[in-house]
Amino acid sequence: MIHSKALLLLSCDFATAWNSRKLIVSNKRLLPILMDELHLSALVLSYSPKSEQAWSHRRWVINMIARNCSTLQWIIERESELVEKIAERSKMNYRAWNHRCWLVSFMTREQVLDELKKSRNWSGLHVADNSCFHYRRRLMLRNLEGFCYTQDNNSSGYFVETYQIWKEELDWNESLIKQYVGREALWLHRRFLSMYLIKHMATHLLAVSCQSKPKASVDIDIDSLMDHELCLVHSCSTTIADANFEDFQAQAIHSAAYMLWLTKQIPEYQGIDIQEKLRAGVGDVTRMLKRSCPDRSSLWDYLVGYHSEP
Amino acid sequence: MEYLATNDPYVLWNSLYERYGHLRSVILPNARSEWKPSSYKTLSVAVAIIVAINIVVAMAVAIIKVVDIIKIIIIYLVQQPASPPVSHAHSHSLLLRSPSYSHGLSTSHSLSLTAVSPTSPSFLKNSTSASPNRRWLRLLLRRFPTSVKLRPSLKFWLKWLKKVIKFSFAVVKPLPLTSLLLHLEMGELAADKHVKYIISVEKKKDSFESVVMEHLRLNGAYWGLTTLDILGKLDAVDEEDVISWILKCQDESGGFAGNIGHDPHVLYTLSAVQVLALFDKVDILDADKVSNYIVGLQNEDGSFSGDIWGEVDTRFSYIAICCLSILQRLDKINVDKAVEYIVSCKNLDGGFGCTPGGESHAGQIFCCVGALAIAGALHHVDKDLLGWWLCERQVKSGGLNGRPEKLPDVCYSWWVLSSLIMIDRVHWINKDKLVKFILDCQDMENGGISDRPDDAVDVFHTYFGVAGLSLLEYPGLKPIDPAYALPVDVVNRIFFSKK
Repeated sequence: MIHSKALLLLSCDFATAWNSRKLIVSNKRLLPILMDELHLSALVLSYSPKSEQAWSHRRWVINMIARNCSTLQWIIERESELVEKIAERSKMNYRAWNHRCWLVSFMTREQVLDELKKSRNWSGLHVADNSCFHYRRRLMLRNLEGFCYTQDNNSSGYFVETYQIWKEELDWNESLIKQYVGREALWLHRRFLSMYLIKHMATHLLAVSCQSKPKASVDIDIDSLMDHELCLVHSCSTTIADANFEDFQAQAIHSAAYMLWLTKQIPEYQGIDIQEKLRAGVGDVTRMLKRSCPDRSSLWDYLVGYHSEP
Repeated sequence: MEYLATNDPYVLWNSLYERYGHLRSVILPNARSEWKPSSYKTLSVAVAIIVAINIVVAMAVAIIKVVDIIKIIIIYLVQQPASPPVSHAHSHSLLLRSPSYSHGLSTSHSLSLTAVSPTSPSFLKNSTSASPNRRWLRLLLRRFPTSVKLRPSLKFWLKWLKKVIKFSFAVVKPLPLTSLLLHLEMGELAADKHVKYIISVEKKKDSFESVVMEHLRLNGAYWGLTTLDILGKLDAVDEEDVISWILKCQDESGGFAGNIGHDPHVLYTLSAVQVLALFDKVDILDADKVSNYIVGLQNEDGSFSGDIWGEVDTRFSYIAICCLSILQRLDKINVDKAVEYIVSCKNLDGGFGCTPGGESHAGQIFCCVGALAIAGALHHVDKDLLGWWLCERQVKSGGLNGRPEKLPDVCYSWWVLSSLIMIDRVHWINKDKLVKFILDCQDMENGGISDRPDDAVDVFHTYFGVAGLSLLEYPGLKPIDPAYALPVDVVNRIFFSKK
């Protein structure tokens, strides 16, 4: 064990050393020893946060703990915090955030909602970090999955809460977009949110309203949602005030791409007037995109061509 | 002035009439006769001089361009001694693939090949050097419009001259090959330097860097040797030496380890099989033993573990499918389940993560798309959506990044590019700029390619840079297969000569 420790501190990706430790630990399976392993891997990660072997060792250890002991929830919370600390230092660390997403599959519903609240502040300070927004998406999807499985009397209450969460996320995202100009990660998050809201929540509403009385506050009006989105896109694309600042240009490009995304994701059965509104905006948008982003002009052509053939 | 002084209108009239008569009869014909011959003379001389200058300049430009074309042809021929034209081999391999692959690729690839125009590097757009010449010509011709009232013979002569000028410029119009001129200006691939760098890395077994990387030396061998093969210099290494070392890395379970005495893992198993394929020595392996090792790593949901310790990742699915395909034992695993698992890792943006619900990452996307391509299941991929995500990876400098908001890196020029080629959306990125970016990342003094311009070089990025250039049909490089990540002739040898 001592030898492998020394080896690992030198060359953190030395898989054979990690494997020998796993071999020894798997013979004993006591909690303190497993915690020891977690400490060692945390130490290794503190100086090389992208070490794949260290992260996979942690997962193996947690799997062992999950089989034997019951302190899983507490461990998961600690893991989440550790990942956040590491992510602070090494931006968009794929392995770290992947580990955190892996933890989500062990979380209960309360924990999921708790995590969403806790990570919100952090995400707000790290708007260029696409991975943390992906983590939030994972949490929200997990929440939605939970809803799909509980089709009982509580479902409408659950649904309202879920819808509230999504709506809040959309509003918060909008405020961030306006505040931090030209951040791609925010726009990508918005793409996901609006697409899910339109595609899936609308169908759920139909299913739920058949069972119970539809509450007035949960009236998902697709039209007003689309209007709102179009307003946002317009306000962002017209601020190409300063060609020197790349931010504004990036903002315009991203908002235009977002609009093209919306046109492709709207299901066909939605109202014709929405289609008309979208089609009207598409021409200007593609012209602007071609001017500012000529490398992808064949993509813009293809998307517009696709759009015009219903 | 004197007319104002005269009071008598009759006197005034007479003197004015006299003056008019004098002007009409004497001065006017004089002026006419003086002007006519000189005007024609000077005009004709001027036209002759300008046209002569024009023709001389056009001929000079033509000679310069012809000399350059000859230079390029010589370089082209010297760099590629005996192999067939680059793109032809590329197309040959991709269309005549084993049934599983071609099912997924044949229709889409025929389109991609026409898009990438085999005869010339069409990614280099028609040069803009033509237009200044033409504009100048137009302006020149406009100065002497044929509608001027000249003698008919002069008019005819001028028209004919204009035709000659136009013709001379038409001859000098940029031919497709002269677009290669542009590529010369971009900077060249210092192939010899890179070969020297790789050989030096292979020889240095005691330096600190090689000791720290000791556990993945087999991967390093694959990167280095494939790069040498693409550059046509695989004979620079001792084949026997390499193969005997690889065989020593094999574990009793059938898998290969990163180096002698280490634990086996699929990553190194694939590298070992690939390196043996480069040397055409796959048959010295006990194919069943190796494939049994891999088959034993498939889980119930179709995913693959990396080794006995159970870490699951879509990369391992790609490795399993690719390795078994090279060993021609793909039927030993449950391919449908494996495909099902990969499809479950698809995200809403069209990309793939390392596990279901994982963030889309260019490397993972390459693995998933490659695995689906080899298994003949590319129809599961939403090509438009994925193509959109992938082409958004190109940043302003021309390089490609791996995820949104990240810096460009040369290794992604392989992963993103090969994925785009497999789904036939490569025309959605700007290939010129990408070539320029990769060439900028070279270390022109010591050889090797780094991840970004002016960073430290390593074998990993050298391999991906050269492989990326090969996919972009850079002249002088062997074509490489986007799914197997091996040169096309090696893949053809595996599938078409053994059967």
